[in-house]
Amino acid sequence: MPVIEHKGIKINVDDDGYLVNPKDWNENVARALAEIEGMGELTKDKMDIITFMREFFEKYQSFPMLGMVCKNIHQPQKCVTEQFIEPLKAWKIAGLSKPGPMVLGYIKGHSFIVKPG
Amino acid sequence: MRYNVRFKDVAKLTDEPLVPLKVEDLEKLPGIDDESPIQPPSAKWLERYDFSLDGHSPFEILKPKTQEEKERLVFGFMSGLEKLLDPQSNWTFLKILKLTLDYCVRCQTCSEACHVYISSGRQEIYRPTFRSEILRRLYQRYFTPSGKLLKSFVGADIELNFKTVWRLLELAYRCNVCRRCAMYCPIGVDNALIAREIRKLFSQEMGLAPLEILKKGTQQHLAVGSSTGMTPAAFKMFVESIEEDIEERIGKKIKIPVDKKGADILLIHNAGEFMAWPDNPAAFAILFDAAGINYTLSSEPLGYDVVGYGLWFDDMEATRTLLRHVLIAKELGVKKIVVGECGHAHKGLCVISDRILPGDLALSEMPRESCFPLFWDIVKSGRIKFDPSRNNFHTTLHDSCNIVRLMGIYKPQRDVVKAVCAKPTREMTPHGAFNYCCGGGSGFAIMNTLNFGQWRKKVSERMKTKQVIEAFKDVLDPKEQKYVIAACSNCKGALRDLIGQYGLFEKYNIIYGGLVELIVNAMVDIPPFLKWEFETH
Repeated sequence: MPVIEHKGIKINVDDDGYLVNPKDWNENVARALAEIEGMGELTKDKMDIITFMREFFEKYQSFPMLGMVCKNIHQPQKCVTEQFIEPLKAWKIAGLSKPGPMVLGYIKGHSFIVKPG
Repeated sequence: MRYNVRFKDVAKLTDEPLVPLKVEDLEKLPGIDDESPIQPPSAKWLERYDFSLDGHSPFEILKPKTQEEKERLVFGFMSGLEKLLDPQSNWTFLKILKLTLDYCVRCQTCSEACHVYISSGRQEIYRPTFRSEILRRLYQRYFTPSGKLLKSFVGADIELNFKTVWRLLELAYRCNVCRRCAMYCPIGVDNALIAREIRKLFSQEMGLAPLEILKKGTQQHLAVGSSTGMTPAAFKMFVESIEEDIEERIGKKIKIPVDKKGADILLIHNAGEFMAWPDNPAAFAILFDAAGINYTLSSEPLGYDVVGYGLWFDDMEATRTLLRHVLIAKELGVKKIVVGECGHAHKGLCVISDRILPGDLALSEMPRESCFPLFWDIVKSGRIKFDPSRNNFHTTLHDSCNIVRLMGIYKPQRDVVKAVCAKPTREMTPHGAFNYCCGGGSGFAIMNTLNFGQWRKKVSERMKTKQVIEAFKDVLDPKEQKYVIAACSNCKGALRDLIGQYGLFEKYNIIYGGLVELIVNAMVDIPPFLKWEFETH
């Protein structure tokens, strides 16, 4: 198991960079993970998204529907892809372990919106 | 080039792939000039995993190192093969398996019917008969007296070693089990079934199956309630969220019935729809509400996820899920089960369950039906007013293999499209029962371990890509909107994959989606439903 160190914070992650123990998570860890993922600073909008994802997972042990996340925190419908580009990055920064392949397979397409022409 | 691979080459003890796939060897795609090359596996992967068939693999399983590990693979296979051909331990599809092994005349008519074989540039290893012949020869050599004595004189000349076993396992996962080969066979043998039975051998005897369909597929489905990992509580939340979303979009609150005892219909969706295409269950809810259908969803574990991955690789797992679906419907006291837009669930519930579930479940008392004839009943009844000009774009109809080729449900979709779309649908060449698989069939759409996703994009989805581009060839200009109707979750997954991979949305303004979304989009009493967008990675 790799241990990454970022600005003095040590984080246990798996080979794909997901937190090994979701209990290790706090806002500082989230900020560190966000910087490692190249997301820069965690704004309030981003923080709201990952907080909702954590709460949803604690309650239902499931990855939420993306539209539902945005509605609950009163952000535009595509908030997750707009803020994080890849929804799985939000999941990772929220300190939750790697979702199953079924979710990965289905969610993977939901990354960024392209325009024709 | 075409690599000259002989049957006995599968026993080669090298890590070199028998067919190192290159883009220039593959069938040319019209309208795509700048195709990216096929990336070989990384050195780290090559060291750890086996890519010795064609440089791809869906198995993140370490290569056997010790003699003991290698023997375990070979003995496991031998023991499984013996059981596979013994009526005491395998009766479900034995007859057609035996007939195929005994009577195939190797005429190769099926090869020209196979999208994988043609797309690959006609590589030997992808012929529908290739893996069957290996199985046949191994069986002859090790289980028949003439084979044991005479070997190559009776064509039983393949060495059995751990590489043979591994390559045969890989070969079983280079077939979409679309059964187009079986349809073209002049004597009705079914080489796709052989691929499926080889998978079964490995899964039931050794627990060897891709992570996505076994451990995180059927096992997660049975343990949690859905192969997406969605718990019953999460499902209820999703339903509420969809209700709110509908209210926002059409200005009317619709109650989606859950666990309603004594409803006429139990509607079961593929739970992947909630995760990836929530507009599909939403459109079902709007349509059924407007048509006054007395239906319900179920929040019982498995009751909200109609998938049954076992169908692709394992009789036990298939039976476990099918049994739960039927029992849940009986407990709810519904008159019938209606399967949502999911191809393999159509096959499982409507066809296979009659074959493998015990008769005393009184299955005949629990009819299981497809959603498509019901759509047509609703549309033609005149209860809902439609404005076809709402769907004023070009469409083409992808036929899901399980729904169209297997079950013969061909006309209802077309009648519906005719009634709710402004332009006549552009049939693919070929279409209907002759249509090609999307390339994501038998679980490939969700299998992304190691570099398997690359193989799917480059080889198995290639024919569908070609068909889609050709269906729209005179209206490719991005100013013209084009919609591929793919009324099956797996097919939608594959369409999303290939549209993303080949940039068909950016280049040609082609999107994809289900059928029910189009029906709801044409409903006069509510605002347009369809969002013209495509999300890729």
